Amino acid sequence: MVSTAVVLAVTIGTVVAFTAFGILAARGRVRSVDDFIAARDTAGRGTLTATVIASMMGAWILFSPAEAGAAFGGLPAILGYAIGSAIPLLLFVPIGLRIRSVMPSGHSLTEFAYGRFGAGMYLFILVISLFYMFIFLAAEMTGIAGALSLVAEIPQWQTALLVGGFVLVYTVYGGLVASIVTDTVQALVVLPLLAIGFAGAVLALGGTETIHAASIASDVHLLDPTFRPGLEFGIYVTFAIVGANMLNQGMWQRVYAADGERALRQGFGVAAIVVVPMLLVAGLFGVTAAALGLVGSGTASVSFFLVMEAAFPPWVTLLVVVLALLLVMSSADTMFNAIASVVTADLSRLLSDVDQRTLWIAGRGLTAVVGIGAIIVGAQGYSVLELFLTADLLAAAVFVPFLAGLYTERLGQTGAIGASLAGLAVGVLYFPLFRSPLAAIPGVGGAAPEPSFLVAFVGATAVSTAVTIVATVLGNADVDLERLDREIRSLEEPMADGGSEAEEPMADCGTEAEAPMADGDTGSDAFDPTTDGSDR
Amino acid sequence: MTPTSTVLQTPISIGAGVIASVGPAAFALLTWGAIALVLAGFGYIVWALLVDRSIRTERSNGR
Repeated sequence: MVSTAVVLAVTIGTVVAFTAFGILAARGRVRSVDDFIAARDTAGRGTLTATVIASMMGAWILFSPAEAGAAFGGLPAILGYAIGSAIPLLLFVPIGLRIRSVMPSGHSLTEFAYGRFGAGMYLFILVISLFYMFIFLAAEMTGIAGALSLVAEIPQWQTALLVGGFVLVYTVYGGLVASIVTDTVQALVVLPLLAIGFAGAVLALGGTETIHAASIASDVHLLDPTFRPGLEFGIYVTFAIVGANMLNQGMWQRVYAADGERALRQGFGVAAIVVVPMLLVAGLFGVTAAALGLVGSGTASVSFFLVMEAAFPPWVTLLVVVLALLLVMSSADTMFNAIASVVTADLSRLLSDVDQRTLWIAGRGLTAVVGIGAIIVGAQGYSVLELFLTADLLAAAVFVPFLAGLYTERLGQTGAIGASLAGLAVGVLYFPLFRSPLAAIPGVGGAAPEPSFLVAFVGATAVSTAVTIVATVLGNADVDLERLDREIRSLEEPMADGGSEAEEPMADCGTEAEAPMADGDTGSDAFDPTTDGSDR
Repeated sequence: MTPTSTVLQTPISIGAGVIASVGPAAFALLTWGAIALVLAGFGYIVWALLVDRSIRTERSNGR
């Protein structure tokens, strides 16, 4: 095992380096609350591809796919993670274009929910989205704290404080701009590290023939694409991931950050293609670990680390640490800013005469509150799997009626909420984690069907979709989607740091020009993380 | 013994069920193909960043 001091030093060096980079890259580029939470039209296709991949692929990819591959599903379970992660990114191409068309000055999914449906659906989406994003964040903090405790016996509170604290610093300062810049660099390091790491491990452990033979000898189901439990897991985890990511504010922010239609199409499209082999590689670590007899009781979730330990000398652990840190930093900064942006955008709507300084304080303050909460949870080492699955179920029941509002004017709030509740009812009825409380209800417990994650997730989505269709056909809400464009305003008033408010920008032929900063810098076009903010 | 394809083994019967696994060639393809695609993704991001940067530089010079 590598010494704790060395791993701690590498951890500190990595988080400090990215914090400094994030702050320097964001200097001069965050000139309004809109920049802080939307970074509108700043990300070209390369940047967008990188930030979408980095935001979605957190430290969880080092744990969950490998565990699925090693312990309970083999190849089909891994494919479920891979395909399940690609589908929402593909869906964000047409849906993202539609979001930008319907609500060009928008910021968040909750803004859309309120404007399109009303307060009821808004509250539904707000609760589910915030719940899912916070659980994701807590799981990431818990994961990295557990990983560094495993490889170097670093106390979990130290890891949570270091990682969460430094990510918080650059996210509070630079908002979405800093998040996107650091994501880009993080993706450029993570992708080759993951690929080369697995390639090296395969070669060091005897090559694919050896691993294949060991897999068949150890457990014939590991590489069986028709293995039923693995297939069932793969199917329901697909529904879980799709639903949750359609309500992921981090993805909505990146829809607005794209600097045009081409960037959005190629950014999300290529990201969808790349995450499949990423998760396949991550999952095959689990198959490899199981095949070679490295997995003991309860250790399937750390298969990645077991394989790296078996294949490489101890110093390679340092590269594993860097990989894990970059994965968690890239998704943590996304979630910090995403959660803060939801509430900031809603504040500007709820408080009609709120000034820019108040919104700035609210946006940055909320980021800090979320971050501190995540650090505290991460330091405890809780198991968040059950909460994660619950959040996924809620999202699976809601995302179809919610997104249907982008395409039809006939679906009203009552129909959307009704569809969501119908899906939720089916999901809850079959959800194994709710079986105990359900059984306690007189009359329900005895009549409840056999619990099944597969039926719960597929049923929740299928039923909510069916009710959405009926509600749309029968409904006559006659919503004016063009109203959203008029009602949802930009938060574009620039703020000079420590100074007075600059003049409100003037609309020019339907687009908003940006007012010059107090120091005369007129700002930038699309976002280039390879330069600093001064060479425009 | 039933001849087996090297790409996809024909189903073998074990106990009560019929089980099929990907063959060694398919596993190798899966493994090295995934690794190659991840590296291709890296290459695409680098290329796209450079191209977008050069377009922005041209626009700046053209102003």
